[in-house]
Amino acid sequence: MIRILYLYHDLMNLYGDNGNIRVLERYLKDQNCEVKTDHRSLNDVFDLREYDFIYCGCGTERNRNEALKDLSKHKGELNEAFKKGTVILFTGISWQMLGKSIVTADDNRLDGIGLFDFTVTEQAKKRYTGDVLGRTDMFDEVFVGFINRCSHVEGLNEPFMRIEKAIGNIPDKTDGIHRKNLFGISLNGPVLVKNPHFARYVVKLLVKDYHEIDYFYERKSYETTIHELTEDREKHK
Amino acid sequence: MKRIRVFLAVLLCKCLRFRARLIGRGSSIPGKITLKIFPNILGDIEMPDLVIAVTGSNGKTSTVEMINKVLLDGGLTVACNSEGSNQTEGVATCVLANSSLSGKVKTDVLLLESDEQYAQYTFRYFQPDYFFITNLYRDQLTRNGHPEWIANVISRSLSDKMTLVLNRDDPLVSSLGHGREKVIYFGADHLDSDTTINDSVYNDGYYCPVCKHPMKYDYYHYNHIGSYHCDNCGFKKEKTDYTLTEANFDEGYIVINDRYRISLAFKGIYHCYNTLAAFTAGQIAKVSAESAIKTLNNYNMTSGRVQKLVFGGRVGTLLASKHENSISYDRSIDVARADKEKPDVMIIVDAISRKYFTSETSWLWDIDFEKLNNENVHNVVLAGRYCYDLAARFEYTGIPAEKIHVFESIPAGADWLKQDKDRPFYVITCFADSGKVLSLSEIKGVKL
Repeated sequence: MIRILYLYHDLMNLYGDNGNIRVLERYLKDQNCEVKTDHRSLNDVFDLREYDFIYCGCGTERNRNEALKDLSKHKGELNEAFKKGTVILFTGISWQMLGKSIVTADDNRLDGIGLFDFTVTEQAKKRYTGDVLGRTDMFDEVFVGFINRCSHVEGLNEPFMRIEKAIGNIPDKTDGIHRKNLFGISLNGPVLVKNPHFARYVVKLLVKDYHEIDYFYERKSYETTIHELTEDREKHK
Repeated sequence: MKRIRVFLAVLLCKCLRFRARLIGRGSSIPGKITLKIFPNILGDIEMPDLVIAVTGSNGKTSTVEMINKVLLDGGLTVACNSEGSNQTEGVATCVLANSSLSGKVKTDVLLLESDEQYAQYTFRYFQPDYFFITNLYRDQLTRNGHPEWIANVISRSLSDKMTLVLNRDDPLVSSLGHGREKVIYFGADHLDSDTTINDSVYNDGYYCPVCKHPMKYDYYHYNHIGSYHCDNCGFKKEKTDYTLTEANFDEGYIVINDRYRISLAFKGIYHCYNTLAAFTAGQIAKVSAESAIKTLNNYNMTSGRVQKLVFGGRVGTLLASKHENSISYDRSIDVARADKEKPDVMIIVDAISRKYFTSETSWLWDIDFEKLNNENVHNVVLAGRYCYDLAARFEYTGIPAEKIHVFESIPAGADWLKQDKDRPFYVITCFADSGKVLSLSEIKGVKL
C-alpha cells in the first residue's frame, strides 16, 4: 500500500494542482499498487513520517503563509521524512516554505522550515509570470510549465533547474531545489501531467516492480507544449 | 495654458479617432497617442455628474452593455468605452472623444468598463463615483497572477470618495467593502437552484478572505458564490441593497427586491447577476424601475456569447466561455448538460489567448468536466492544438473512452459532428477560438 498525503489541499491548490494527485493515483494503480490518499489541511492531525509521498501545491502568498505556520508544527517530522527518503514534491511557491525565511510584501519576516539555506523576498508591485523550458542534470528531457510568482529567491546554491527559455517576464535563470527525494519547483499546476518523464521517475521511486506504460495523451500533450515553446514566435508577429 | 492643452488634446484625439474609424481600426490608438503627448490630460477633463466604472473577472462587458441600455432608455446621454479597450488608452479615447473642446464630457453619464489591472492607472487622474466589482475568479493567470493579487491591485485604485458597488455573494469582492463606509451591495437570496455542498474541483471560499480562518456556507449559488460566514472574525454575507429574491429558470424570470419581475432571454445564473447589476446602476442613475425593467426584460446580448451554429444541416449552439477561467467553463457546462435532448458537446482549445502567447493549460484541471459524465450528454468532441491536454484531462472524468473523440483539426471535429443530425450539439470554447468554429458554420451571426 502506497500512502499519499495531499498537504493543504484546500489552501494550496491554485490552478489545477489537484491534477498531480489524480494522475499519480492512477499511475500507481496501473502499476498494480494499492493507494491511499489523505487530504490534510490547517490544524488537522497528521504525521508526515507515515507517508510514502507528500505533495503540496501552489497557493496565494497569504495562503502559503498560513500553510507555513501550520507546517512549522511538523518541522521535526518533515526533517525525518526527508532524511529517510520519503518522496516529497512541493510545487508553485510552496517550496519557498522550506528555506530559512520569507520576507513578505508588507515586510513581515517569517521563519522557514529550514531544510535549505535560501531566503525569499516578496513584493506586491510586480507579478512574474511566464511559460518556461527548464533543463536539469537529472533528466535528459526538458521540463515545461508555468511560473507565477512575485518573489525573489536568494542563496539557491544547487538549483534543480536551469531556465533555458522563458516566455513572459521571469527574471530568474535557475529554479527549484532537489536533495534526496525531495523536489521543489516553481512550476504551477499539474506538473506531473505536463512532464511525463518526471511522473515516470516519481512512480519508479514509489513502486518495486515498475513496468513501462505509455500514456498517449500526456505524451502528445508534452510534445505539443515543447513544440509551442520552442517555436520562433517573432516570425509570427 | 491648461485650456490650450485641453483644447489640443481633445482635438488631437477626435481627429485620430475619426481617422481610425475611416480605416476601421480599434479605439485605443487615439487615446494612446494623445496620452503620449499629454500624459496627465485625463486629470484636466471636467467629468459629468455621474461616472460609473465596472470591473471584475467575468461579466464586465455584458454588464456595461446592459447598464448603457438602461441609462439610454431612461433618457440619459451616455459616453461609454464599449466599442474599445478597457485599459487606460481605451478609456482616454472614450473620455476625450466625448468631450467639448473646452474639456468637458458632454454626456450625462460616463460609463466605463475597466480592466482589473489598469484601474489603478486609469483612476489616478479621475475617480468614478460608483465602482462596480462583479466578481473575482481564477482568470487569465498568465497576466493576473491570482484572484487575491487582483483584489489587492484593485484596492490600490480605490478612494474614499467613491462608492463601491459590490457583489456580496463573492467573498473576495465583498471583502473589499469590509470596513468601508460608502458601499452598495447586490446579491442573491436563497434560490431554488442553490446547493448546500460545493462539489466543484476547487473551492476558493474555504478560507475567509479577511482572517484566513475556515468559512462555512449556508448555501452555494454556484462554485464559491453564495452565503458564507466566518465564525472567527465575523465576516459574512449580509443583507444586500439590491437583491435577487427569486430566480425561476423553468419559467425564465427573476425577481428583484421582491417586487420587480424581469423575464430572461438567456437562462444562466450569470445573466441574472449581470441583470441585477444593471438594475442597480439604473437605480443609482435615478432611472425609474419601470423603465429599467422594460429595458432588461428579455434582454438579448449583442456580444454574441451564445450563437447558433449549423454544420451539415445539424443545428447547434456556441457557448463562448473564457480559456484560463474555469468558472466560465463550469457555467457553459451547466447549460449543455441541462439539455434533455442528449446533445453532443465539443470543447475547443486552440489558441489560449488572442492577445498574448501562452501554452499554459493547468486551468483545465480546475474545470468541472466531470459534470459532462451525465446521462444527458451523448458524445464529447475535443479539438484544437491542445486537444491532447483536453484528452488527458478527460480521462479522469469517468466518461467512457468510446464517447470521447479527439481531433487536432477543428474542421475535422466539426465534420464529425455532421453525422448525427437528430440531436443538438454545443460548442464550448473561448472568444479566442470561437471565430474558427463560426467560420465553419453554414449560418452565421444568429445570436441566441
